[in-house]
Amino acid sequence: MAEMWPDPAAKTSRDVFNPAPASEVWLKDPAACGAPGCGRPCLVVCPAGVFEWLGGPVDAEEVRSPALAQAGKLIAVRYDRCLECGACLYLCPRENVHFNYPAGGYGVYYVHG
Amino acid sequence: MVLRRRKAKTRRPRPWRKTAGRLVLRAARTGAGALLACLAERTRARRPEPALPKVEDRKSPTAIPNRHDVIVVGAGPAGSTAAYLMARQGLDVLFIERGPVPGSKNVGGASIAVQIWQEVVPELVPALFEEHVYERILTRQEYWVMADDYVLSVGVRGPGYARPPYNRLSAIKSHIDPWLAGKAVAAGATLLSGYRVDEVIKDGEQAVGVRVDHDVGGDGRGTRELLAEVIVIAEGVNPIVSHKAGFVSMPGAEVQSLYVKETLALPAEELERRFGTGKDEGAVIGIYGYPTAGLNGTGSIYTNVASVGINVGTSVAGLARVGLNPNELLERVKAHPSIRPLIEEGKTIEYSAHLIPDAGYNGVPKLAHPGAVIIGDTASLVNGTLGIVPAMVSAKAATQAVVHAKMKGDFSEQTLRLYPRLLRQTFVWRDLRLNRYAEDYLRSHPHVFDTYARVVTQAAHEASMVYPDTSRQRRRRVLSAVRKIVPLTKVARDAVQAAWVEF
Ligand SMILES: Cc1cc2nc3c(=O)[nH]c(=O)nc-3n(C[C@H](O)[C@H](O)[C@H](O)COP(=O)(O)OP(=O)(O)OC[C@H]3O[C@@H](n4cnc5c(N)ncnc54)[C@H](O)[C@@H]3O)c2cc1C
Ligand code: SF4
Ligand code: SF4
Repeated sequence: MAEMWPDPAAKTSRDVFNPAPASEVWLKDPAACGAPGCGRPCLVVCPAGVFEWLGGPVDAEEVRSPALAQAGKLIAVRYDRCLECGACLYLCPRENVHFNYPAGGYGVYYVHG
Repeated sequence: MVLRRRKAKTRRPRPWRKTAGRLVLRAARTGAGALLACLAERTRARRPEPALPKVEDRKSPTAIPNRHDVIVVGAGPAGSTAAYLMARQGLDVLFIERGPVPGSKNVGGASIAVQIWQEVVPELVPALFEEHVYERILTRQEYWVMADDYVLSVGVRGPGYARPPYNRLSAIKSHIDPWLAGKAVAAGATLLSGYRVDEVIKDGEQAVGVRVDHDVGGDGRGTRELLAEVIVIAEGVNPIVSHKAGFVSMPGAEVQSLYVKETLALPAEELERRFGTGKDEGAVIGIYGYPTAGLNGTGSIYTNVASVGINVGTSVAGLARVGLNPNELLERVKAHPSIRPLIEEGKTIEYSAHLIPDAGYNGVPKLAHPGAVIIGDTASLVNGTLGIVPAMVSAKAATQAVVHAKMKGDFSEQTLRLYPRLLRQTFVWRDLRLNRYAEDYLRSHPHVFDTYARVVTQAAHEASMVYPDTSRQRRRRVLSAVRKIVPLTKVARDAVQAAWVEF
């Protein structure tokens, strides 16, 4: 049986990384993520699970619920496992994610790409 | 800072050594293609292993001259082909890649279309075989329309594909990209790898150089300006630099498809047995319907020498809309009863993610700007999921325009417009143009792939079942199975619309 990896973040443990000293992925206004209505696609779609809900794992239903809306920092950005696909440039309806590639030479290193 | 390896490298078995003699004999009999085949066999044993360079081994941007004829941003197939062709024309070319080596950031299916390489870079084709940068010669090509339980497969296979002139080869992008970049360096281009281009420098409207990010000791970072008469933008699918320069508008989530890929290691002989191919021969299977769980999208499976790659993807907007992580799609595909046996016992050796531009013809931006041209994925030049060939063809057209501009000593937009003019004469452009309505159609009918995948598989399944009935009853049975999925009036309407956009 081929291995099953339901958790995308765990799956990145198979990859080679050389994390940059500074992150190039961040939330422009972290508090804005508290307001309901965006559907929080960043938490769901990122193929590496870089955006992590600080309240612990949440399922898709919970992520969409306004009950979780609070002010302050709600999402952690685990940039050290970012696969540099750039999807987060397009998926936030509020354009609240800043993304750039890591500084030259750093980041993910595909060997079988 | 040294690259951290999380996993020991697996050694690639080299079964081809044994068969070399037999294949050389075969090559000798095939006349015209004999040279290619001989080259292929002679050097199979010399396959290069990918090297992992250290960050401190990079060439420093302060160590190279700051003035060049051409600066190319990105060393993917588009950038490296442009650097190669331009250097061969005697231009002083600097090409800059953000990865520690070219290819370390790139993901592909991938296949190489030999006949098209023969057209664009004929002198590289013998080297492709001689240096054995590909994985397997693809002798089995299939398309699977998948539903939950059934698969309708259409395919072509045969030993003819294993003989010159070859058709397609499977390849690993992190092997092919650095190899191509190496050819550009051998042709005289300068490669600056491990540095990110941050922006295009302009003098008024005219692009005159780029600003490169680099370390200035410790963890401090600075920038260096490098100047050129023309900037070739080949930064791939995310137009970060070209958007900042005002050349390209940011594409929407609907037209960027997110692909995830998993590479699973399996012994070479086992792969040949499971996929039913001969020694050193490989298979590619395009998968549709089930893999993207009701969204329009595609996937594919390729066999490499000792691994199999599975990728699947759909639009970023689609994933966001239904609240799905692309890895869920991948795991679902891996568990499908028709796919699971193919990858059983395979050990996951890499997980990767990459976007493919999906806007097609309608997404092509303005390609010539004062002092700059845009090629490859950045220019939305991808047909379906195939972008390596358009990348190379656009690099060739851009080269002709840049050489012309250099002779004229005029790098205005007016002169560089020769590039889009030449591109419009290529088959790549004509093909893209022919598919222009299909792209829109699929976007406005986000479930059409899935619905009809279920229709055709269900219809095929019903037709294949042997019951004690007449052929008229059988036709009714098929129709009623189809009707359960979509009303027949809708089938007819969709068929008319689809036919309209296809022709
Ligand atoms: C899963 C998958 C399967 C595919 N399968 C196939 C296939 O079978 N056949 C096919 O023909 N095509 C396939 N493609 C598409 C193909 O890989 C691309 O179309 C092709 O690589 C485009 O080439 P490019 O040079 O334009 O872009 P890329 O290959 O993306 O190259 C861009 C380069 O620029 C570098 N770069 C980006 N920004 C900067 C910066 N600021 N500074 C410096 N460097 C930078 C990147 O690191 C990268 O090396 C596939 C793609 C995917 C994702
Ligand atoms: S989608 Fe945008 S606004 Fe919503 S949680 Fe994510 S980053 Fe915040
Ligand atoms: S670039 Fe891709 S992997 Fe990285 S944070 Fe954005 S969506 Fe996630």
